[in-house]
Amino acid sequence: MSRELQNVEYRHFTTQELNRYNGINGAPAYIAYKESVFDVTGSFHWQQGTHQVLHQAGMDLTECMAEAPHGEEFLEKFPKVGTYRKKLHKTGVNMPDQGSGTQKEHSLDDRIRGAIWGQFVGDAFCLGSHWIYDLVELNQRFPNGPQGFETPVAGHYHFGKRSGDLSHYGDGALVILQSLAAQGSFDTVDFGLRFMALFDSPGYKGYRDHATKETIANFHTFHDGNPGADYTFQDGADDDQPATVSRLAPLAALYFRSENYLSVVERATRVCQNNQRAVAYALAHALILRELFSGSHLHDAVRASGDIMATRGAAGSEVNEWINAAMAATHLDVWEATHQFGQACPLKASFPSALQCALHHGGNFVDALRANAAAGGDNAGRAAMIGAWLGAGLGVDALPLKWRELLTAREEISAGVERIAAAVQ
Amino acid sequence: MAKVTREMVEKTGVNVDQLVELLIKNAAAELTTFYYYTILRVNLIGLEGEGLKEIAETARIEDRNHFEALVPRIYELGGKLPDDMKAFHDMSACPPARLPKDPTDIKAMLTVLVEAERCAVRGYTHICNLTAGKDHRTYDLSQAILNEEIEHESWFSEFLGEGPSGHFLRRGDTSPFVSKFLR
Repeated sequence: MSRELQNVEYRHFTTQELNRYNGINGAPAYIAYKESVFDVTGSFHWQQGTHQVLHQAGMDLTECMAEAPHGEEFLEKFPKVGTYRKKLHKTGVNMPDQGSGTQKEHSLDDRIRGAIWGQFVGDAFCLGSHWIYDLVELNQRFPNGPQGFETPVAGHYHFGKRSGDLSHYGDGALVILQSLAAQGSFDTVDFGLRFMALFDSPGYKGYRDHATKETIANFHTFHDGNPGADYTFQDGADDDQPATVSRLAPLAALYFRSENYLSVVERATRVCQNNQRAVAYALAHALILRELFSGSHLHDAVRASGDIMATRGAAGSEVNEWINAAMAATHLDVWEATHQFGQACPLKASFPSALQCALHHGGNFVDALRANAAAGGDNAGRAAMIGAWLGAGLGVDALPLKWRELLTAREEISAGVERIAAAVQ
Repeated sequence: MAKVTREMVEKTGVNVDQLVELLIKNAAAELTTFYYYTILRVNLIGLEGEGLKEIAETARIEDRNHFEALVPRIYELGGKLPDDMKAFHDMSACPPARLPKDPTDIKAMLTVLVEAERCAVRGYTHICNLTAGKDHRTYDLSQAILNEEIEHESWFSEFLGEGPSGHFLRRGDTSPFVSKFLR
């Protein structure tokens, strides 16, 4: 059995549920074969849910295999997403399962740990291959593709950091994790002050991106003009890049059941990104995580997020359009889709690129991170999102333990994860 | 449309609409492969690439011949090609045989070529299975194309180090099996 099939999220499908995954109008394409359900959405051969004219997704195709010009080994490359069983009627005729399925779900604790660890592992995985846009150059530096956790070489944006360190995205993520863990809730000022303490310090040797530099500048401008006044930390940079989406997982875990969830996400975004587009993408990211924490499958979570964003004005509609585009591109290779959507940092490129990768490799955390890293550009920003989504969907055990142990900040992250996980229960 | 021809096939129990759609999808695969192979062929350069260029060119021309041979059968059975070339491309029975990220990677080039041929071998085997003993003319055509696709697969497979193909390059004209449908 392939590695991909070992790393799976199982759920039980009734016939009615299976039929919904027919691949039509953007629906995922699932097929049942010998009591297993496979996600064939990403396959060129299952576009619009139809295979070789004769076969339709959403069906049990076990009996069709005998006449197919290929064997069942072809299914091994597709994520196995669950089980399906026809009930044997007393007449001996197979009857559709009517429901009450015994869904084996990951526990909430498992999903939360997966999301937070996944976010940090994703970021650190791409440290040494970050921001290399030319794929020829990327291939020359990493002939077998980035394997993850490479130490940045001289001249690289993150030179000086070493294998297992976090990028500046991850450094910011650690700040919010520690703030949440210390306060037990999201405190805009506490997070803001911690952020300034790290990134405005001359001792910080990491990269400062646009969001960071302008946030720091706005902070000082306010204090210069208003000596002694309280600063609300809601005047971050006019920036639409991944600063916030790369750090949201612990906040989402803490608040996803709150009726104030989206307003808290918006406040957290405006600390460093006072920008409507950044808010919209952060909300979409948070909505996906909420669905995943609630037990939804990734495709359903993404669809639900898009449906809600479509009702939230122009910026929300833009996000929904990119969500639809990503869902329609799952058959493409990740590098190809990333080139279509864009390798760069702006969220209108990085968000759909990350989403396409997560959907394409929905059943396998390792393959997803490798494929994303090999697509170049802002792979670290995308990896933080992908890691959070797949960690939430597949549970923490889908992340190689060795990778978590490689993180330089593993003890700080672990302490934060334990506090968040305990608070959520 | 050849009315009686279609009736005869329908009487055997073959779903002719489905069969026509399959033929159109495979015709799309042939024409798009002809296009993508053109790009692959011009990139087969250097000491390793030049050795492959001739068989890639033969496969390219024969795939175009397959397209030419399939079109009359589609119309005989009451089908038609899409008006929109882009729609035709997108309905192909096989994935695009795109140039690899690194065109100097000969193994990657060969993998694209052999996968394209394997997809075609499966596709025509499928059509032969559907039509055997029922739709004699479509079977004859599909079998002829299948013969050539099998040879293409063998050539590329041999270069990939998967063992001897047992075949030799074409000596003379292309499409020894399909040419009777092109006259």
